Amino acid sequence: MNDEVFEKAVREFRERIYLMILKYVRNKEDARDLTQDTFVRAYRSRGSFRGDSSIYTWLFRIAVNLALNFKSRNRLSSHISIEDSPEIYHNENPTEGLEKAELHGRIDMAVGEMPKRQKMIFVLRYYEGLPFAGIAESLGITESAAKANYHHAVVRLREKLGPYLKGEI
Amino acid sequence: MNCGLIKKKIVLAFSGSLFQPDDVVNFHIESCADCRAYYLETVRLRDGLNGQPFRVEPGELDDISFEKITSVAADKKRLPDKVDSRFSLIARWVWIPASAAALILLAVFLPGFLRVSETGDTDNGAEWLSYYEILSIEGIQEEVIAALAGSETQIDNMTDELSGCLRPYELLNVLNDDELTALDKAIDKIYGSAG
Repeated sequence: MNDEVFEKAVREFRERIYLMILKYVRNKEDARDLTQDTFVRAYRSRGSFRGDSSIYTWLFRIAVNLALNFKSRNRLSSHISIEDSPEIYHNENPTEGLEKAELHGRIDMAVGEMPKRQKMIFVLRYYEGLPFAGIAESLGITESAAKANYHHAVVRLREKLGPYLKGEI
Repeated sequence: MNCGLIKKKIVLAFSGSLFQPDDVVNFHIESCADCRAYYLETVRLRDGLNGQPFRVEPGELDDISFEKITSVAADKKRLPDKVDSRFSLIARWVWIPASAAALILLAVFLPGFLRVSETGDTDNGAEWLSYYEILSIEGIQEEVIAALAGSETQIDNMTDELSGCLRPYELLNVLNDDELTALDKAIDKIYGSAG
């Protein structure tokens, strides 16, 4: 792959890669670092890209592997806050805005507490809408394992947030 | 209809791409305040997940440019490529034999783990887990089927029926109300109540 093609890939795919990583790490700074690392790794190994898959698929797999092996340096900060996106939370009833912000924060926490691989499967399936076969291939696991992990992630998320959704806390 | 089963069906519907509970759930939640509350909580969770503001602010990714990437990549190229000689020694005498042993064990035991049920279905691009698959994932299908069927002669028939149910609500077409209640009791006994 020559530099011109790679440069075009950076421009074309950096947002998609960043957003996928952001949904996994839930921290903007970490997501930016990982997105850059993804392209740096890809650039260094661009000679091995043979075009068997699309450039995006190749970048996506690098990003998934980096994210799975990533240890956050910013564990305490959430990916988003009311200050980050005022129009999302403030353009409505103030109470509703705060409730929404709190729900998002609790979802962040619950998703963040999932085991790494389970979290990745949840992100790829729920947010990215990938088929289980594609998830299995990207992670090097069986399709059944991907389905099982996804099911457990959903049940766990529902259970974790149950008391909050009921208004008990 | 048993509320525990309805709640499980609500979570199952939520785990599909399309959050559309079937008619039986809809009918039940009209008359059951507890299940309606559970359903509305799940809707709220879904809305919360779907409404999370994942997006790129203007200028946020300006730093991730081709120039920056090539410059960082050039820096990293200076890192030594060779591994430490002590690690090489460890790799040679410990990790390589250990890996070989692990591979042999995998070759022996993996086929057993891979005997999984064939499922997966698409419906407008959405994939669903079959009810039987959920039971299978949770490792309780044999006990549930045995408890429900009541006798060994019925187990095979019941397994076939459950295997054919690609969506939770299809189960309702093959099992009567008493059987569903028995199934739910069996699941709760083994797995615990959902609500």
